[in-house]
Amino acid sequence: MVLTALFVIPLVVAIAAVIGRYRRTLEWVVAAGGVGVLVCAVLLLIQVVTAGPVRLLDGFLEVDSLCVFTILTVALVSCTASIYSVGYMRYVLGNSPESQARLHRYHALQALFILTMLVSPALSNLGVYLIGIELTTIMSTFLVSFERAHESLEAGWKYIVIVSAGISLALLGTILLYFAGTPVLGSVYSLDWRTVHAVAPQLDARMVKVIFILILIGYGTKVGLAPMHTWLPDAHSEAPSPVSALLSGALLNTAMFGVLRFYTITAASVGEAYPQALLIIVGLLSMAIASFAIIQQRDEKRLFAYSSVEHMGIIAVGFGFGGTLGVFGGLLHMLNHSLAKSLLFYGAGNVLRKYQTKEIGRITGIIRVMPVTGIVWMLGGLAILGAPPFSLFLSEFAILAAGVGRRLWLPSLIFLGLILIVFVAFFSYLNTMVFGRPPERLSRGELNGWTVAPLVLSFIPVLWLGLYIPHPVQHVLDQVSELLLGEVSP
Amino acid sequence: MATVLLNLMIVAILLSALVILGTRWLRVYIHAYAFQSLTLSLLTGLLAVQTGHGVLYAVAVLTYLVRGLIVPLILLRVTKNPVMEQEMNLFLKVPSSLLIGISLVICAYLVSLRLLGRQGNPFVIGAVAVALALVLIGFFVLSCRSQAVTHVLALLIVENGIFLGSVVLAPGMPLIVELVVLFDILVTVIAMSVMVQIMAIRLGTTSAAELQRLTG
Repeated sequence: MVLTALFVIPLVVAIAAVIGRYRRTLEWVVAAGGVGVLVCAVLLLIQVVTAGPVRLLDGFLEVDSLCVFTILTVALVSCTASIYSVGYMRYVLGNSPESQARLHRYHALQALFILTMLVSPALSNLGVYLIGIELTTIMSTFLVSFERAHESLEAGWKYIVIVSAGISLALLGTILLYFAGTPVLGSVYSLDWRTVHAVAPQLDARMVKVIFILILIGYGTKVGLAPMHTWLPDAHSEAPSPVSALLSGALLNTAMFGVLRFYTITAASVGEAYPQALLIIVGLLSMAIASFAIIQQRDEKRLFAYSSVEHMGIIAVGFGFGGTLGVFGGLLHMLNHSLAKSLLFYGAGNVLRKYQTKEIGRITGIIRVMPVTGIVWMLGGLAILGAPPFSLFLSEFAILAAGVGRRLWLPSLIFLGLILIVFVAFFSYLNTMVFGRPPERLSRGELNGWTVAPLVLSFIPVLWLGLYIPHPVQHVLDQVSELLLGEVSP
Repeated sequence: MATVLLNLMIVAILLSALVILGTRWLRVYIHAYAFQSLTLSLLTGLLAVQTGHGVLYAVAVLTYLVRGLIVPLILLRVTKNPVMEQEMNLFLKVPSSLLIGISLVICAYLVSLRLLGRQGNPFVIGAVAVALALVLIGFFVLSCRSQAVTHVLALLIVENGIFLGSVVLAPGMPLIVELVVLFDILVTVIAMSVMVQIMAIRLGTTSAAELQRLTG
């Protein structure tokens, strides 16, 4: 029931955007849809935690703990991004009748994008999940190139080509997995992840290793793990800001979900050490490449985009270090990163509209021009860098502790070193942008209420989760950790 | 008899992939792709007769409709745009492209031999080799050709390779997976065609070599 509502709400918003006429009504429908999705996701979370997996359409859709956790992160960002998009798009599009039509098209695409991200993780068939991920790409391509400038078209084209190529490798991996299962399950069976997971120990180990590599490259492209991350900075920086937030905070997690599903299958088949080693290598590489790009970055939105690459690396390293602490840290970091990064992109959007530039060197004194944006942005920046008392400190510390606990000295040292490098570089950029003397010609004051509220709404849980993790969230984290650690059979 | 026919089809599929490396005319690429898809669907039909998997008949028909008919028609329509350059400007000339293509084929054959060598069915080894070769050639075309439509075709060749591998290795693959893959191809091609047309209108070119503003 709640699950149906979760999928119906974005669909209703999309239909309303297509057939609706009135701009004000549409804006309220979009915002209410965002809140509705979040409410449904929280109710679903409570239901799954207390009563176990929820199924729909004869098990075609199945929401277990890992899935509901992913859906929660998507829903959180969808809620704030929907609210933000109302205020932001007013500034991107004017009042002409043509822009009115484009506004409706934008909201229809955004709602469909949210819908595909909510549905994909719930698809229990691994082949169908893959197509769900490809659909998210297609919906978001048009959002990325929505502004239709040279740069945004370039970003959109690179995005769809690189990610589709990656997904085709994931398809190859998925088909090989089916082939690997035929000796055990017969030549015709359903490619349900549960079915495959149950027979994982009997699969050909060599084959499973190849499959995990293909999947890691394939979905890793979508997650933005180096060296397949090249589409990410372009797409994130050229997309309208609410879309950047959705891409970074929600989309990357839905793809990470796929990696984690195959991780459980691989771990059950050939043991944990093999996938963990790969995740650590890819994660540290992502962090390293991102930190070099961050050090010499001139564009604020690309700065945050590379920071997303870094954080996906941190999450991968977390799962790679493994153990209760590592998995817990990785999961919590997925949630924290969604909240904090979307906050930063909302702030970046406000700054872009006010200053009319993305160049870091030309942005100064935000705190005097837009006090609320400036303060929350600064705090959000500190949070994303992992400063206490924010929640990202907790998750990064847990991951580091997991590495040290397993005596993986070198990876832990590199992990810590890269985080420190990013901290210094990122913090100095943030400092010059937020403080200092603002340019004379700028009018003081925020853009409008719609663009400030999402910043504050995202900030509250970032602070709250750092001090105290609410019971249902703690519970779902425990359940997912048990699942990923192979302590319970799914 | 059937095996000879199957082997011939495999060879035809491989050759149609090499055509794309051997010419610089956009329309020839699309016709070669359509021919490849047609052969692929005939092969699927023949395998359906041979293995007795009823599902494969449906897959063969749908493959022909989507990969052999609709997708090439969409692409031909897109290339009618006057902005589109009909003749490729190649980074890598035809002879060197072909040489690299052939070495990729040899590489694919060696991998296939090593993966499946013990089972010893020469048809399966050959088919998997061609499937892998299509994947590799597709990625090669993706990286060395700069026209937006050739990027689409490169991805489609990769998909054809994966499809060939799946019908040969896992003929029992459930219909739902094949269906969603075809649906996915259709949607992706339509989305990319729309993008190409927007690029043609807004930028006046469809050459991806022009897309070099975003760096760092």
